[in-house]
Amino acid sequence: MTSADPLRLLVLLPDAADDPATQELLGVLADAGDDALAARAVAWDGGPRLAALRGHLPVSVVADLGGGPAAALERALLRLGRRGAGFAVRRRRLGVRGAIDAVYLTSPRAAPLLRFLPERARPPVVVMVPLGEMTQAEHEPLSDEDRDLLLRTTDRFVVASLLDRLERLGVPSDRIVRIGAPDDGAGAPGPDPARLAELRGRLAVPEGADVLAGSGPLVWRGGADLFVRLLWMLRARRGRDVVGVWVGADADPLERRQLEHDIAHMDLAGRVHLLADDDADALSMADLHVVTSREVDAPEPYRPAAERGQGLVGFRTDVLDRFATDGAGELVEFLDLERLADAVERLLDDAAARTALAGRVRARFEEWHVPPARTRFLLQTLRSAR
Amino acid sequence: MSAPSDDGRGTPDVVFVSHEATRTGAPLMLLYVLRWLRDHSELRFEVLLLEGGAIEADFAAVAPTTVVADIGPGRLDGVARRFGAHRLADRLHERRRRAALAPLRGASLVYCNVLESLAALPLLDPGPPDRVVVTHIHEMRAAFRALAPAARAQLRRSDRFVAASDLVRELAIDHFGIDPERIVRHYECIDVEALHATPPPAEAVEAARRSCGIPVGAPVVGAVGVTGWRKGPDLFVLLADHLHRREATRDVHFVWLGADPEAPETRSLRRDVERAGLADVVHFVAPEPAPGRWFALFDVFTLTSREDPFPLVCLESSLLGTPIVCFANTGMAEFAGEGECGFMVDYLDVEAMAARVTDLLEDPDRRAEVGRRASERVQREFDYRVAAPLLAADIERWRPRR
Repeated sequence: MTSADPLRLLVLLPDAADDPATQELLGVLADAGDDALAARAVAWDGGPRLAALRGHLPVSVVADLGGGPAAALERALLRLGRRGAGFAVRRRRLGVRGAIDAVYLTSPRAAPLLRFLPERARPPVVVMVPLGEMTQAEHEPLSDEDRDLLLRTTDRFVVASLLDRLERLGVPSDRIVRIGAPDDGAGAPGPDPARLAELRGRLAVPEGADVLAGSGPLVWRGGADLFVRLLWMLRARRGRDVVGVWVGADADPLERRQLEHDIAHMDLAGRVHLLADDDADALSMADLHVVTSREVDAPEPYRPAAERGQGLVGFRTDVLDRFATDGAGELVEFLDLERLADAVERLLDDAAARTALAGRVRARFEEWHVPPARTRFLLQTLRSAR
Repeated sequence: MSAPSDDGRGTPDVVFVSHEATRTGAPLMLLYVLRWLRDHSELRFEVLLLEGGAIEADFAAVAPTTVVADIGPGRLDGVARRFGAHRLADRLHERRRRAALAPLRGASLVYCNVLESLAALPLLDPGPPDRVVVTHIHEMRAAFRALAPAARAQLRRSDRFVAASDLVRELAIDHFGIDPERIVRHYECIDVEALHATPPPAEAVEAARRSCGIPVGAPVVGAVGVTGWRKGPDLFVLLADHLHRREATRDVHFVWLGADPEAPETRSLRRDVERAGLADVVHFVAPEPAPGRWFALFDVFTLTSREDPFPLVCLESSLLGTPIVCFANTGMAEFAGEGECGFMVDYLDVEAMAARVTDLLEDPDRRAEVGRRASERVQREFDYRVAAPLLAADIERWRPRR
């Protein structure tokens, strides 16, 4: 099969509910086009989006299978312990015939359908884990048998987020492929110049000062304290006029007070601004976006930079490390504030490097998040899973 | 003569209130002062603890001690609560507590060991009209801001104040609006004799070293305290990270003693340490009742607190001849000076602290010299046998004459 050949895909889905898993599949089918995909689907159950799905590909529903001689034969074979033959009958009843390049599960919840696959010469299995699905799976867990089946059979887990949880389930990291939650690709709406001027005035950002941005809640894992320390180091190094804006400081009064204590004692009052989400426009003032999070997952820490077309620097932590491969971000070892300050200084001094970095960040973001680039990435993953 | 209490022991002259009886600075300081008073004065005093703790029995061995938290509900309020009359139950419980404390109300002086202890004042009302309230302030800005409203409301009732260091006194005047004429400074103190009498056995020190996997001969930088924000354990991790990245100090180990392993802050710090690749050299050790073996292991003691009035752990460390490095914003800077008994660096300047630590580790002679001066000064000025009489004299001076 060449990359030009349509991918013969068997899609397994838990149902046709109006949920992220179905929406995800509909998006992929729409973006992929008939040339790229020759697919059919099996759902365990029906649902309100069944008709929409059938507009793109044939869908069989297990719950709708009737009786008749084929069903009797299947039951008899299974009763005799001839599982392989029994499930082969089931596949025929579901209309699954011919060669399959890959099996694509829209959700871990479709795991029970994996039983129907042939055990010998089984095609590669790729499971999409949409945002929030693992949380749901933690609340409504798969049976032990289905979970084992899922972990044993799957060649690639494509995860939108919650990577840590998947790794905690014991999935080796080389079987995890990271993809972002869908994004319309329009980027963050840039604030109009008047709003930006108002913000610069309100925050008293001096003309010519470099601006660094960070974002997240003011809790330990957010790493706002490390952002403040970075600012302090940069200013101490050569009296550089650097201003920091941190967006996401809405709640957490205790953490805010503690951080303000440090800011005041580092003589950074007026140079570091802790802003609420309402002032997210202030992120657009930044020359660079800095991620000092201790733990990052969802929402993606690179998103503010990528949406605004900014360069990204930060600590090498799970998600960010995967995102920043091939130069889509400048990362340093965790807690190494000196190196982080080096990287920031270098980029602040080199506008061309900063622009190039921002371009790579944006490209990776599109690859991970924006249809149809995101779909291309997913199809590539399906093809390469063979 | 005041009315006798229930057990016939008479109304005390002074009630000493401690917010708790944990093995921490302010309760320990109070305990030392009370021991001195018991042995050297005629003062009749009792102890009122808002909460109990590990040294509750030590207080009880010095003077009659009542723990407010232990005055539980009676039968009547229990019945009221069973019938859902919670307000009535609360009132009955409050009446029960007040009745239990009635013998203390005649005291002519109430001494609160921290601002939080001021919350006891309403329980001791009504007192004699000439009663004097003395408050020992250990709190600095953040602790003052976090003060419970019940205690804050009582602050104006205090007639006299004791500050744990000059820095605390300045803060109390500048930020809490306390009249400079009414506040005096008394440094904290320790029991030098007891610490000298019970040096940790060499095998206990070795066991401590082995428990962390610290190689023999590896330098150890220590710190002691809970893992809350105020004590700056995050800054200790940054200090360790900074030093570990340098060739000259790569083999240094870092021990933080007093880290409750179940505390969320400790878990967060451990994750930081693991991610930064420091798990082999940074050790968070649970609190111990007799922590001397750890102090003996330290080559340099660091105080990374964002705020600390005058921590006893620094005195204990200094007594052993281990120099301290602290930020200039703590009361300990008054003791450390610039190389006299330790070193101070600009507040939050972790890099400067790292440089000082490196200097001390690289120069054993200097370390020994500074440590010796620190030890001598502790013995000379900070033993409770020296410090407690000074505070006792003030208490005696402030007590109304009848």
